[in-house]
Amino acid sequence: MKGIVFTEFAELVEGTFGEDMMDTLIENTNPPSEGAYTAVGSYDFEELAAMVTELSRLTNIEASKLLYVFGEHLAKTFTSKFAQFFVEAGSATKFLKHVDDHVHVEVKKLYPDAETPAFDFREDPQTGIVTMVYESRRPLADVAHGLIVGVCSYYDEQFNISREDWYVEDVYCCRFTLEAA
Amino acid sequence: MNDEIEKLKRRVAREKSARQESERLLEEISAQLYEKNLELYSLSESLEKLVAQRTAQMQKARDEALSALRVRSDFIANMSHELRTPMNGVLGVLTLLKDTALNDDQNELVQVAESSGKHLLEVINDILDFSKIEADKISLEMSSFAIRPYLENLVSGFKLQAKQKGIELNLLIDDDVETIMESDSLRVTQIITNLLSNAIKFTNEGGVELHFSRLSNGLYQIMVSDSGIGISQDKLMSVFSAFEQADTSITRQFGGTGLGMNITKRLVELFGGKIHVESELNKGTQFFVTLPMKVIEDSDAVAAMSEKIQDSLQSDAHVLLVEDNHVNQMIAQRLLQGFGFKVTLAENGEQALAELNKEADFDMIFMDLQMPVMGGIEATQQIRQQQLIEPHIPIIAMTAHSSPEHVKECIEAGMQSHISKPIDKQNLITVIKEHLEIKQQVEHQEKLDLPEIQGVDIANAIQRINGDWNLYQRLVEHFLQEHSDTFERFSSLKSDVLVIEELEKLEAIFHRLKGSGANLGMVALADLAADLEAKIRLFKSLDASKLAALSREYFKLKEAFDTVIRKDNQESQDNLREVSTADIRANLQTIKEEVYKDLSLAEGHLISLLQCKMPEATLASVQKASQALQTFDLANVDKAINQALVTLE
Repeated sequence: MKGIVFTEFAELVEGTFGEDMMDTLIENTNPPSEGAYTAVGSYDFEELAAMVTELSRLTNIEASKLLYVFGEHLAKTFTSKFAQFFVEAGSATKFLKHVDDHVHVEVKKLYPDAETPAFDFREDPQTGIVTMVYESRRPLADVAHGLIVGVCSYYDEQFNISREDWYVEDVYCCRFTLEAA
Repeated sequence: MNDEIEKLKRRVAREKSARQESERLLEEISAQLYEKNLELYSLSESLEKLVAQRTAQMQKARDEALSALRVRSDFIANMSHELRTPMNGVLGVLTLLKDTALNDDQNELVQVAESSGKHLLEVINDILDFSKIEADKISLEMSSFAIRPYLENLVSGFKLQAKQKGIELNLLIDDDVETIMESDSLRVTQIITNLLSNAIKFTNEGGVELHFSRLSNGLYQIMVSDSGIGISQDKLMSVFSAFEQADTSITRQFGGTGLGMNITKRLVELFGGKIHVESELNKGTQFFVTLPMKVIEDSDAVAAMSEKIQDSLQSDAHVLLVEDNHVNQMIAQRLLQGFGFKVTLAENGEQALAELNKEADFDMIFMDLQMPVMGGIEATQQIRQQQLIEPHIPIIAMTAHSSPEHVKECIEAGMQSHISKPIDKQNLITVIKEHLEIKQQVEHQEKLDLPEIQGVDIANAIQRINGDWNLYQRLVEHFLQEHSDTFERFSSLKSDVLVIEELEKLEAIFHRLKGSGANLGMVALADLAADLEAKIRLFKSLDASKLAALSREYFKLKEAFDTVIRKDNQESQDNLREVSTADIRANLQTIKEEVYKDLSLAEGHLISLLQCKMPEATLASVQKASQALQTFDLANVDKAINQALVTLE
């Protein structure tokens, strides 16, 4: 998993729970990489998963809630760091529509080893209701949820978002339904 | 406290290793970038090489394509030219066929064939012009001419066509238009001809007008307006496109290649002029052509020209006629003397030079091209180089070759104009008028009661020698006598064993037959000789069936003219063989059977039978049979022979 996810996670933990919390997470989970995360490196997803579980245990906050907040935080980072994608798209649904076939394609050009989730985007032309299906070997639908909400608030657009989760063998699936509020 | 310090130490250690790790990664990545950059650099180098290579290939391909295009244009130009010769032959034969006894159905078929042929010839001419323009082979040849008589003459050529359609045709020249202009009259003629023939073609009621006006100094407008079917606004744009007509139904209804207006536009542009069209459907069309033309105001030139006019009115213009062929010499001399000209003769270029060295006071020189000792081209070059005559004195080529290449060669050698042989009196007048501006002295010739001989345009031939029927008879006799040995030899000629030298001799013979024959109005004979000459020139082969046809034509003419001339001169009767009536009857029976088995055998027998003495009535029938055989009208051959047999009973 790309290092930026880990450094952004560290930023969020340090900003919310203090610098000591991040030290504690690293020391308690004893990650094989020894926790010296850099934005340009790559690290095992399991290290992040272990830290999230430990954070949940220490703070008594549900892991899914933590991941959702992390998603929102990532959305803020991305919208400032990769602003051109967002300016180019112009609206939340247009951006989301092109996550799979444009944003992720560009990400892969920059980082050939990046593993991006699949996002199937559908928009009902009559009702304008958007459905997105997230599929990944990693259980990060909550991060995706936070990202979607973060993107909507970047554009200052209001949507009622509902979700439905399931597995297909070892693949995590989640359908997000966005309805203009 | 110690714990805290340890924790901070570990954090610092982690931060340090993170920094080192990221530095390592960045170095690794920049090394990769450097390598990729090198790869890209060499790739772009090889791509540049590839582009250069491809560009060179493409340039070569483009050059090849261009040269192929040139070859193609040249081919089309040459081809169209070669197509015209046989086409003229076809049309000539159709004209002859029309003069034979045909029933209504046949007559209609011949007329359809003839009009199709004429149309095809127009198409070929269009393609020829178009391909020449495409190949940039047309350049303007400027000369000065008097604009009013030029336009009057041009428009009068369309009067008949307009009259037949029952429409008006008017020419309007503004008063402020100057007298003498400089332009390429041949090309201006082509432009106006195209516009006028189109206007007449598309007009069924009302009329057509040509209006020539002066727009400003050196800029003139030719407006051709008609009250015809018009062109709809959406089609107006494509009027000048090649291969397009306003409507495809036009092609079906009116014919044409769709090249005419494109040629016209290109010619106008060649002059640096402009053409545009205005039209309203069912109301009419106006074409506006603006052409720059130089006004010849130079007082000397005008004076020289009016002096010439004076001269010709006094009928003492002096002309040098350079021509080796005696028949042609006589014809041209008669024709020129008929205008009141004083004619000096020269047999070849060298003699002409000598004559000019003796006396340079000629108003015009007529120059044959193919002559022994020194040909017309060389003579002209010498005359111009040595300035044996004033530069404004015209030299006019007389030649049987009227291809544009020949005309171009003549003009490049220093000639001003060209007149094709057989000399057409009207053409000659036009050319002389153009250069000397003499007032047209249209001779109202009394119509002679001329005999009719199939394949011979006696009226036209006689007109060429100012209606001198006796001279014509003498010329014909001379011609027939001169070639009788030749035709005797032809009958024993084996066309498949000829060597090149013999072919060249034959080519010269056919060339002479073509020229003299045409001058004497023997159209069919001249056409056949022309075809045979062309076949030898182009393919180095002798067309045996054409040769046989030429012989037939010659003997037919000999027979026909003998009959005509015999009426004046009974002595020729003695030349005929004496045979018994039984022999004639037997011969007729044989021919009658042969006609359905072997036409050429039948024809040979018929020809030799015609050289036998026989009663007037029998002769008439046998001649009728011979004529019918010429047109392959076997039923009438049979009928005529039966009649001949009846006369012998």
